Amino acid sequence: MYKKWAILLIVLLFPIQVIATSSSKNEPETEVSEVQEELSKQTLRFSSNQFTQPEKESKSVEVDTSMTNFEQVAENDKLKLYVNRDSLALKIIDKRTGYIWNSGLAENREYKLNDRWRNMANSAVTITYIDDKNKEYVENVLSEETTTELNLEENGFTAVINFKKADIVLQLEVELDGEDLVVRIPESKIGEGENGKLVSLRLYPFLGAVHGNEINGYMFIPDGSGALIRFDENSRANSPYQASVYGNDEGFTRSVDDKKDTQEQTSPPQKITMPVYGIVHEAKKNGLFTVIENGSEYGELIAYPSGVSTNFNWVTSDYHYRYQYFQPTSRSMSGYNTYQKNRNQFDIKERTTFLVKEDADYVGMAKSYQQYLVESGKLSRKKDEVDVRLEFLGGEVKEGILWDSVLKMTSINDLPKYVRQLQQQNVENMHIVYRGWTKGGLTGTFPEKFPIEKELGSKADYKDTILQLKKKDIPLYFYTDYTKAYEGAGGFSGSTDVARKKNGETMNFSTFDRNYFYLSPKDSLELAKKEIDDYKENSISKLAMDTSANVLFSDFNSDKSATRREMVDLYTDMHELLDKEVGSLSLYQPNDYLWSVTERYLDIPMYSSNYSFVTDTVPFIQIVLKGYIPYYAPFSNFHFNRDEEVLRMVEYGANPSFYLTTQSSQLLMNTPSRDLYTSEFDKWEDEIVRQYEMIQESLGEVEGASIESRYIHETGVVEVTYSNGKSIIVNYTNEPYMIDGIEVKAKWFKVLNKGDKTS
Amino acid sequence: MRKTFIILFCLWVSGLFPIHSSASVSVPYKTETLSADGNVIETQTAYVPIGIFENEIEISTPEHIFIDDHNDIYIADSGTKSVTKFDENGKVKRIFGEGILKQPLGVFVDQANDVYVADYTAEKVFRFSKEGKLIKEYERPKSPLFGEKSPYKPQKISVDPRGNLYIIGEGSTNGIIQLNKAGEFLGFYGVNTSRPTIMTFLQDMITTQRQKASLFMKVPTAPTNISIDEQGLVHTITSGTDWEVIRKLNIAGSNMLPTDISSTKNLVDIAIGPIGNIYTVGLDGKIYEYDRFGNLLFVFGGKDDGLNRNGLFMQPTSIEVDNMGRLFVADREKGTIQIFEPTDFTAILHEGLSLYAEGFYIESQKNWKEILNLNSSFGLAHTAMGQAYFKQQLYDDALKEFKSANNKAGYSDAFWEIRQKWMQDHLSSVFSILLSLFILWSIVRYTDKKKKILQPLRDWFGKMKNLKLLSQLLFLLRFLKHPIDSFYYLPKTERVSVLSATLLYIILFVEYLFVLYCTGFLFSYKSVEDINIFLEAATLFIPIILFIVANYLVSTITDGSGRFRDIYIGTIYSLAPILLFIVPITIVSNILTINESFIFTFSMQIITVWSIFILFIMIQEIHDYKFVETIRNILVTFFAMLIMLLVFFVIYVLLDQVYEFILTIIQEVILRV
Repeated sequence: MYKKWAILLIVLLFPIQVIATSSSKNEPETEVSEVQEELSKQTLRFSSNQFTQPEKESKSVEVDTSMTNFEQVAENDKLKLYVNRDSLALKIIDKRTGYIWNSGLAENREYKLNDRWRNMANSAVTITYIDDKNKEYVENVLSEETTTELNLEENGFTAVINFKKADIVLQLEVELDGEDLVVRIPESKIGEGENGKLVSLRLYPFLGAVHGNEINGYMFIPDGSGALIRFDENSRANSPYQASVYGNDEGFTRSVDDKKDTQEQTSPPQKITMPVYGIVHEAKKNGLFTVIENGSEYGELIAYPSGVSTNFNWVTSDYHYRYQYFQPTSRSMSGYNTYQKNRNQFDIKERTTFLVKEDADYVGMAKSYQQYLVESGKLSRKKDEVDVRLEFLGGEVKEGILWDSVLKMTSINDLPKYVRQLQQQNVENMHIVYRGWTKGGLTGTFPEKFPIEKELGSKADYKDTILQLKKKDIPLYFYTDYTKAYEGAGGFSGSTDVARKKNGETMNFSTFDRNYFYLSPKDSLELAKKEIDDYKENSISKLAMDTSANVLFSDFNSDKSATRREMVDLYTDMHELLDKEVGSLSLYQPNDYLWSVTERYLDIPMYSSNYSFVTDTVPFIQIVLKGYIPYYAPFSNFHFNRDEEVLRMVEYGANPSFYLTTQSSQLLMNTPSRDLYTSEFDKWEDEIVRQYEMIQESLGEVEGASIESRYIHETGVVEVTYSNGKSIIVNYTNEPYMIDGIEVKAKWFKVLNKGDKTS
Repeated sequence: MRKTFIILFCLWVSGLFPIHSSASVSVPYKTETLSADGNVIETQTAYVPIGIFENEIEISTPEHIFIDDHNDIYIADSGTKSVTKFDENGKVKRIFGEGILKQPLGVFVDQANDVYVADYTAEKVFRFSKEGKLIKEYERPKSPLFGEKSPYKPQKISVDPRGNLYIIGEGSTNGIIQLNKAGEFLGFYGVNTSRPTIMTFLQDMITTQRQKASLFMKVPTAPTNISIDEQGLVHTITSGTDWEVIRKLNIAGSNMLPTDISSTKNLVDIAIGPIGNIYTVGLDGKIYEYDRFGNLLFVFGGKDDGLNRNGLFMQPTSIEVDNMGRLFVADREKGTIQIFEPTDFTAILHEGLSLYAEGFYIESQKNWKEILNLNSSFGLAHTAMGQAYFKQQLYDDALKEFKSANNKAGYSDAFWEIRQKWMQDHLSSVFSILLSLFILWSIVRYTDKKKKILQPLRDWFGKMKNLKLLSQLLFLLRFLKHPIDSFYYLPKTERVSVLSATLLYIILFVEYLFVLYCTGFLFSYKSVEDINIFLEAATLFIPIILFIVANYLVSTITDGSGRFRDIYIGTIYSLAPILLFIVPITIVSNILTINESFIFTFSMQIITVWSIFILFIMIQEIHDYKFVETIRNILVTFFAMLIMLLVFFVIYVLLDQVYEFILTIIQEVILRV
């Protein structure tokens, strides 16, 4: 240490030469500021895959139009459905454009594909199964011993497929429903014989697949805010996109120890929160969009860009009937891999919508999904107003000599003061989330929440603050969690109440030096029921729910086991109960099944996971939610490009968020919240005001409106049009941008009133 | 050593990294920096991955990247056996050495745009003109100085502004091979050193120069990669060692960076950025950025987890910085070049560093303040702030910053100034207080002599002395002056007791904690947060207990006459100097600067030696030994302590194995049967 600084001092003694060269002492121009300016002019960032790229010129599309071997089975005013009796492959003619969609390969062309791939591509159903020796095999409709029995129905057909070699029978149901194609595999019709056990299943994997870059277009995957994989000859990746819907099932993962290598410093990719995917053949011309209505809990989305295994771009969902898991037999974690004995029980139902013309792009997909959610009652309009989320950290655990104490970061009485301070600076709308109010601080005693932490204020102080803020109409949410259970905390038993994996291990994790478990979902629900009265007694009427909204796992706790499917119901019940009995809920990145109880959507993903095969990031989830549920970007504390990231919020329609404390964040250095490295209110006050003003100026104009279209003028210049006729043009670049005689300033935005589409 | 420990500790902590983090996830890796107390903390993203360097032709096995002043990019590719020059948009400008190169591993372009290529298999360095014509081949030097057996396997190459070549060769443990323009051997440059250990120190002491030459000496590893900065200073990295991993060599070839700069053993390449910042990349995909003095700024990147995300690597081979501060990192396994761009946060930091290095301390403060707003624990920013305050003579602020930065030298200087100021201001009042106290004391003594006003106090004191326990405790004082006498009384119950000894042990522990908590900032090496009371109790008492037990056991078989009780009591009473003086020394340590540190260290040494001396007498007296017997007894005691530790360890391991075995059987039975 000394040596380092000694050298530093020595070198500092000789800066004479440098001083001599610099012209004026008052305004030192460094090399760095010049370089930085140059860089910001020539930045490559806006053409990276974290931004959306302009659409390319369209190409003429040659599609296989031959209908030999296909017979028509259904027709309505929008679509015509054809099927091939051998492979059960489909062709769908969209009558609005005459475009033909194909679930298999064109027959009149030669592709570089081996038989295995070819059969999989052409078959309606491909299964993986294991024999009695746990060995995996693949079978599909075109396999030699497979027989099919087709029955025509009113709007489509059903087919019984008998995989004789695998000793498995199942029924495929295909029908047209308006502009949608619905494909089902009912659980009740699956029959397994003695030898074969179904492991996984794919349905029409090559529906809409594109060879190389023959067609301009892209695949859409719900990664982060939404991501596109544009068709290209050769992808830069060497592996496909593979991600389980709602994240990997913790019930089957190997324990953290084994994953440590890769997990050390890398963050996991973003979780899928909505079971959807799509393909576009020429933006604004033809597209298809699939929603997994049933079976999404066991679905895994896979997308192969051209160049990975085959020269095709294809995207589908793989359904897992049995997971493989690792069964350790000793403490040193040696053991063996095996499969679940019992099949996961679920129906598969995929609804594919055919999009044409204006709707045939990711915006159209999002709108179609929005409509679907609204119609099925999963999404309803909440009050959508511009505001800023302020999260305050109350107390945090601090390890002491003999016992842990609570480090007081923000007392409850400070909150009204800050609200007053901000309101004097014209920050009118805001809401507060108060963290770490439970006994023992933020990572102290979850799942048990009561009594409240006395260090931060007495019961009367809490009531007083709640009342004061209520008078000012500032919602005050209390941070809560019904999934995490910290080691050593009360309110649960470490052996009977925690969730267990299939192999009997508990689901435990650690944040810095705090270990925690996941609670059994049934216990979570019980606990929520029990605590309703406590909330009422403390006048708490709004909750911000972390973790619970975003995790889904199978629990194999012997007394309270729940499948993933059952957990969806348990958690939905729990959230609905709290919503009804306590008050409105803010949820952190909730999965789609909880959107109906979401008052505010917190920490909405603003980026995608940076996969190298992804070419664009798009605000898909934002387009779905805008106008329905107000959503909030992750904390601005951690921004690395100050201007750019606020502009992104303007573009994505997201409200800003801050994570604040009264005390300096340096105190948190040795606590479990050490990743909060900047938070002092006094240091952030100006920035809160600045960002609020920017958002108010832009998004204030489109409150309650939904996004109609999004257009990329050029790299780094984006226009988003809303349903109330307003449109916001965001210019990320360092140069002003002229558009129809209107100038959009560099690194700024402009709100235009187009007025032609008043709703 | 301490640093290594800290780094190890950090690695351990980072192993337990949370799955959930407050920060937004727009990049797949975490960016970290050093906090004031040397811990690793997360910080804002410093560099964002832009994607893959798009180019016209396929790159198969990129080995090395070089970027010249015009931002043209040269890539040495051992797969295509050529060096390709691209412009910044990925257009091919020229291909060098097709058909000539066999395994190009390193490339360098000088100011005249001549291209130097290190070829491993051809065992040559090739020099091409900018048109792509082969100008010269640098073969194995013929000079006898080079040595018959020295290997010549060029891997990396750099050329300084004077045209001298620096060649990194495989197994070239003598240093970098330095050739002049004409290809004549100039000598080995900047040989690596190995970590000095007690063994090497002893060897240096006893052996003469000639003996040394014939002795088998530990050969330091050869440098792995090289880079030359704008001023012509050579930077090297060495993998496979944690001693002087990154070196910045002056003309004489000696290192100007801290020797413990990094403990990463798998670095593969080094690059120097626009303001002299040092970038390195390791095989694990971690990219490290240091400032020109070797302070760690950022660590980011990581190993690809098989998901193919930008910003992570499979097998990085080379890192290079272009004129705008973008990073280019080659990945041999993926066959790609990834590009990173610095963020605004990094720009603020770089500007601060640059201002600071140019002497604009006060101007740089704006940047450091902003950095601290964005990350209140950023260690380097605290130090820089402290230096700036110090330069402005704002010593109180400087003191605070230095303390936050854990910078002892700076703290000491600032404290010295403050103390000086205080003394100047208060010297007169201090003297007057001292004087008045003295006068008061004299008056009291005088009146006491006349009228005995202090008699009640003396009586009370006498009474207290008669209390048995108290007198037993106070017996401690006698050990200072008359240790031999005192040990004679030890076996007699009235002077000391087990109770009084136990109390003293407790006092020792309390004092130990006091030392941990209250030693002056300059002299304490343990942060208060790290203190765990049970661990501290264990570190203090386990050696003592072991000593007492071992000594008792040893002396019972070697005719020692001391009872267990005597050893128990004797041990703590021998520690009298420590018990009595450690507290005042600790208090005094708070008003000392590094200049006066000898006061602290010297007095600590005195009380330690004094205690050991008394302990020695204790053993001699209570066991009734002679001098030699005592020494033997002590040595055997230490040996016994060691054996006891070993036995405990073996028992622990055995029990653990048995437990494991039973558990495995039960598991197997449950699961398989």
